[in-house]
Amino acid sequence: MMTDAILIILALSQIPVVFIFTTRYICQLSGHMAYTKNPVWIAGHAEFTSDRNCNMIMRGFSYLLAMASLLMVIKFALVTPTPQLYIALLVAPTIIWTVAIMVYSGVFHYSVIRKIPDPEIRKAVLTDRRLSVFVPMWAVYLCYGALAVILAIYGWAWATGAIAPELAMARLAGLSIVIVLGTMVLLILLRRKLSELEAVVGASGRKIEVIFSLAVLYLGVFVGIYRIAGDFFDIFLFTDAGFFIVMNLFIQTAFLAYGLNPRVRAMRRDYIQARTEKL
Amino acid sequence: MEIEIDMNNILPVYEQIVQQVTQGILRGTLPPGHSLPSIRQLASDLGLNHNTVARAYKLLESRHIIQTAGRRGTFVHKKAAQHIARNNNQNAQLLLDELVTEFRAAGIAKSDIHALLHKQLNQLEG
Repeated sequence: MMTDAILIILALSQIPVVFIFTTRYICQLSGHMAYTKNPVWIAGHAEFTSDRNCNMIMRGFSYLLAMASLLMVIKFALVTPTPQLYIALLVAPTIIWTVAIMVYSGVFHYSVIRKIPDPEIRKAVLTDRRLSVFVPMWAVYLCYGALAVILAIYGWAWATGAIAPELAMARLAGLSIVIVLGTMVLLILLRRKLSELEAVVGASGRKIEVIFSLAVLYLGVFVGIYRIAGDFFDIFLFTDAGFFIVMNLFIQTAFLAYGLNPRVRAMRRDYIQARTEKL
Repeated sequence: MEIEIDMNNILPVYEQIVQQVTQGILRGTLPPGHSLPSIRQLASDLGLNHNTVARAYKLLESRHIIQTAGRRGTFVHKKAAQHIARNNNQNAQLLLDELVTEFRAAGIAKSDIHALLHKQLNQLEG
């Protein structure tokens, strides 16, 4: 009962925190990053509104998701209480939002940042950004090794029928998504020139981003081990609801803290001001 | 250390990279063993062609200012500062050779060349 109440409260609180507040500042930070590429060109091209359009679509989608999420909570928690759906009410919108943000980042890069020409005077830092600079390589190899072993175990279970094939396939699909998305994020963090977190916390910003992204991959390992313990040995260290509550609390707190950081707020203000001046 | 490339500068872009890396080493902002960005990374960050950055790195490597260690990356040479000083001395020697040869061809006496150089040095030292 208590767990159900927490799940519902978090499903409601993530609507303003994640789908409205976080979306708004992510769009504004992306705009700020784009404008810093060539402020002179931006100031002289009032007709350049790609950032505005791209951000409007993302915000629109996120607000729709917020409304749909709210309606779902009202329907399945208040009108016809369905406890078996409470985890889905909390997790599904967040997953949809995460995928949307990733698509948005890619679209924003190609339709906004790449359209802004490089300035005549260009700057770059003479510091290497290869993975080994930020984290010891053994930690990376260990993580991918463990993920490969977990995939192999479920592959073997699927082939031999040690567990239900649908369950093995679901675990394989879930873990594969985590690996692909985690690796993509890791590569993007290393390749891109500008890092929002670097602008906020200084030179260590990118290191924090890389460590955090590797931690997400380790979370995949952790979940994999937990699933193996449950699926093969009937050992359940914690409940699914407990896991998602902790994860969601962490996500909401991190997003709030980051968005309320004074430097992030200053960057958002700069972008709004630059955008207004352009008009 | 930050590198700044001016596309309107008459100096070729690869020369600007070479100059700034060399200056960074002489100033101490790029210490021996410092890990430099890969060619791809620097080219992407500066919006340049890979070949331009590769040319700069090749030139720096041929002067023993930087060294590449395969997949481990590119580093500032341990004796980069000494090599820069040696290169500068060699360049100065070559320029002086050319200058003195021209003076001699123009019929200026040895003692006059000596006096001119001396005067110039004194002026520079203020």
